[in-house]
Amino acid sequence: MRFHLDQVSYGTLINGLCKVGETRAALELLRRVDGKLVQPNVVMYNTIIDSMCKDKLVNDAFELYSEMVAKRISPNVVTYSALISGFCIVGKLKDAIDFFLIK
Amino acid sequence: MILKNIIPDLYTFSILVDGFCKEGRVKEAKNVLAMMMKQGIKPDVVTYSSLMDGYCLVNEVNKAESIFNTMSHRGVTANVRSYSIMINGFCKIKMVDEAMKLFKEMHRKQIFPDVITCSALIDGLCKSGRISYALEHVDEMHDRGQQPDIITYNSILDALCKKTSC
Repeated sequence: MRFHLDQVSYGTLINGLCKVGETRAALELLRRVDGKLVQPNVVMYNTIIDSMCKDKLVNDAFELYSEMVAKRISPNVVTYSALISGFCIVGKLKDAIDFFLIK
Repeated sequence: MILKNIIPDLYTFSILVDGFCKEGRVKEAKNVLAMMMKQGIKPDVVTYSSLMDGYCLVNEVNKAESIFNTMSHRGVTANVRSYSIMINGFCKIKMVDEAMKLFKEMHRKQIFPDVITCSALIDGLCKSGRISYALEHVDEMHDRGQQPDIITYNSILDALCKKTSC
């Protein structure tokens, strides 16, 4: 039986990698599938952004957020909550508030 | 977020409340709470606990206690984190008996203390000179199969060192 992995399967794999602390590998997987195997979606981006924020890599998370916006993948409440949480974790409360109100 | 018409949910608000509280900016945290309630989002045990933690951080344990009571009046059940925050708050202002009362209440309500709850209480007992009680709690932890951590042991070590030096 031959089948192709879809957005959900790749999303699950990305989530699994993030859950075991392999955020970098999750990002690599996103890069590998991007546009070739499947179109990345908001869930994949959210998962990696959230994982980066929990690892205190808020700048990387913000870059990924900018990338998804540039690709016209609309961020949702989960994306924003993850980033706001990340800014709070690293003590950048002002950025958290900015994100909450404006960005 | 708000400008882009993405509606914050309970989690977003709770994250912000927690962020403000961890910096001791409780007044702003209360503003966020008011904002969320205005939007019809009810705070949950996580939101209330963050606020309690904020008040404890700025040494307003009485206000934390009042939030703790408000929470249960509003039908939100306290969990191990809320109890740990209050026990830690009371211990830090040397109201160890109040902390003990809450610890017993947890037992009655079958909310099981974790290593954070126990460490907070043990530290309070140690700092109020009740080292034998503290050691009893360490034994109880072992009996429950709970491993005291570096924080628990540091409290005990500190108390024992201070005791022999006087």
